[in-house]
Amino acid sequence: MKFSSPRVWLLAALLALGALAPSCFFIVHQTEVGIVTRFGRPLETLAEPGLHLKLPWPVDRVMRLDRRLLVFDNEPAEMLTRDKRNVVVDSFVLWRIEDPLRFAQTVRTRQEAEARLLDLIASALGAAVGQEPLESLINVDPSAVRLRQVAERTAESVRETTLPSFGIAIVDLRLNGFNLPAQNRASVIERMRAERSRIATAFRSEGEEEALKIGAEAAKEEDRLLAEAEAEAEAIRGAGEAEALALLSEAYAQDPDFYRFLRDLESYEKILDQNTTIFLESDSPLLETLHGR
Amino acid sequence: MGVEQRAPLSVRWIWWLRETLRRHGRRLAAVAAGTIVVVWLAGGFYTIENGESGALLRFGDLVDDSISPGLHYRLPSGIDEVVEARTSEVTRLEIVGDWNPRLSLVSGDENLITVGVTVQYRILRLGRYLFSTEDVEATMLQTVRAELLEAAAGLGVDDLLTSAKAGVQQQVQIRSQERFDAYDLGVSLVSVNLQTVAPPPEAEQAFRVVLDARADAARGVSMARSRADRRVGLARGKAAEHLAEAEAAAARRLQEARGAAQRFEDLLAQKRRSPELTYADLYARSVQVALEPTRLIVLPPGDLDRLHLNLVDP
Repeated sequence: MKFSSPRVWLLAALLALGALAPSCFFIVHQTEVGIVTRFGRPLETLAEPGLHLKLPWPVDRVMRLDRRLLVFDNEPAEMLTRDKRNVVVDSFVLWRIEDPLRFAQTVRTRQEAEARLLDLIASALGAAVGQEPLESLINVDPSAVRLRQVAERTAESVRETTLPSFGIAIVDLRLNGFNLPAQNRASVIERMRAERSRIATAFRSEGEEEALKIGAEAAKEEDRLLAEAEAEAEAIRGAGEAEALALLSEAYAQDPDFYRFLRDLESYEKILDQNTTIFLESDSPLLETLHGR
Repeated sequence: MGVEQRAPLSVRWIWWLRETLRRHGRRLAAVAAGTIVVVWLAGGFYTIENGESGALLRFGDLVDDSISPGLHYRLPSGIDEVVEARTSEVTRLEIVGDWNPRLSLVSGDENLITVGVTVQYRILRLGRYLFSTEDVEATMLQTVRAELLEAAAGLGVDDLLTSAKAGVQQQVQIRSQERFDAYDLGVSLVSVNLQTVAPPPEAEQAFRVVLDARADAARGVSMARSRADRRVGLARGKAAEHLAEAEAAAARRLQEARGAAQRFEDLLAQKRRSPELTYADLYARSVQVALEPTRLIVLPPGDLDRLHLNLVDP
């Protein structure tokens, strides 16, 4: 068998083809996007999930990028508000590779992308927080709290750079930590304690005030009840008296003279007592009557 | 064939095998290949357990994300892939801080609080749950943290510790769900539970003092109220007593009047029958009664005009 014979060449070609066949297919998973590079230069069309054909190695090669929503949690950082208060703000960002070609050409890896994001967010967030006084970050009036707007402004500013430069879309950027610096903790706690004791005192004095008010109301009510009852009792007595007098005068009206006589007699009986001394002349009609007996 | 008959059994086996292969070689090869293909294809049967759902990927591409429990067939490994997940169950997720199992938040009035929170979620769309983010739970955790932080930043510490709990849970649930939908996570937030809301341990005593003060104040007020009720009740009783007395007095007065009138009428009747006698009788009785307690001094007639009395208190 000679090496130049056509049979040998055919066999060699078949073997080579068999070896290269697997590298003509590639699979892109649901979570990925594939970029085919021909001699290292990316082709324009992107590979969606599924089975695809390409030219065999070493002509075409496949680069895969994550097409899912990616979570990146920042480190908390101390920042200054507009009214020069120190706060510790933490954020996280949800991002996605929006332009895989650009991403592949510029940052290439996730680590590199996150390093860029970290820098961009740190400066944008610092600027956004610096525009707000503390009272528009935390406030007892929920409508005055502008944390959301701070995050949105930061996202907007980061997005302006990342999308055209790196092909990274910022899907959302939110604050997931907001605190006062650790070195202020002692003084904050001290203030909280003082506030609590003030509130406790207020509760007690309000309670006492309320109790006094209730007592005073009760005294007033008591007075009113008794006064009313007395007035009514007086009225009842008066009515009774009036009725009694009406009854008597009706009776006496039958003979007023006789009544006057009886009343006089009764008066004498009442007027005269053991302290009374009566001087009578012996010819008094009263004694005459006695003599006559 | 005598030689063949004398050969050992093993050698005869090989001869037989060679003969059979020579005669039926092609058919045997076909049967063997067919068996391999059948076994390979039979490996494509799989079951989805009760309470689970499956998602089918063909060459990595999602074809179906709602395969229900039961026996199913897929193309053998290398072509089709099935991912299963428990979709009927509610999953509990603890919302933790970066270094702490609890979150530390700042209230709207600059008080520090720590909260322990759990959420419960259910998978709504398996395909999205599996493939739309790199880490669904991390996304949920961070989103809920952000919402909690905003809720706390808009409330006073007293509200957070007491009345606002239910409102915060509801707000966080609604707003987080809005975000989950926007991110296409394929999950439904079933509940947000604020397990604990507490002031920092260093200030706990001070917060307890406030609670005590409030309880004391309430107790004082309720005692004052019961004293007041008692006082008003007594007054009401006293008032009723006054009225009853007045009524009794009025009745008594009327009764007396009736008696007096009756007596007058009796006397009048008597007087009408015999006026002289009645006058005399009444007069005499009265004089007797009236003069009985008095000191009576009888003077000679005409002396009374000459009498000079120095009235002194006896």
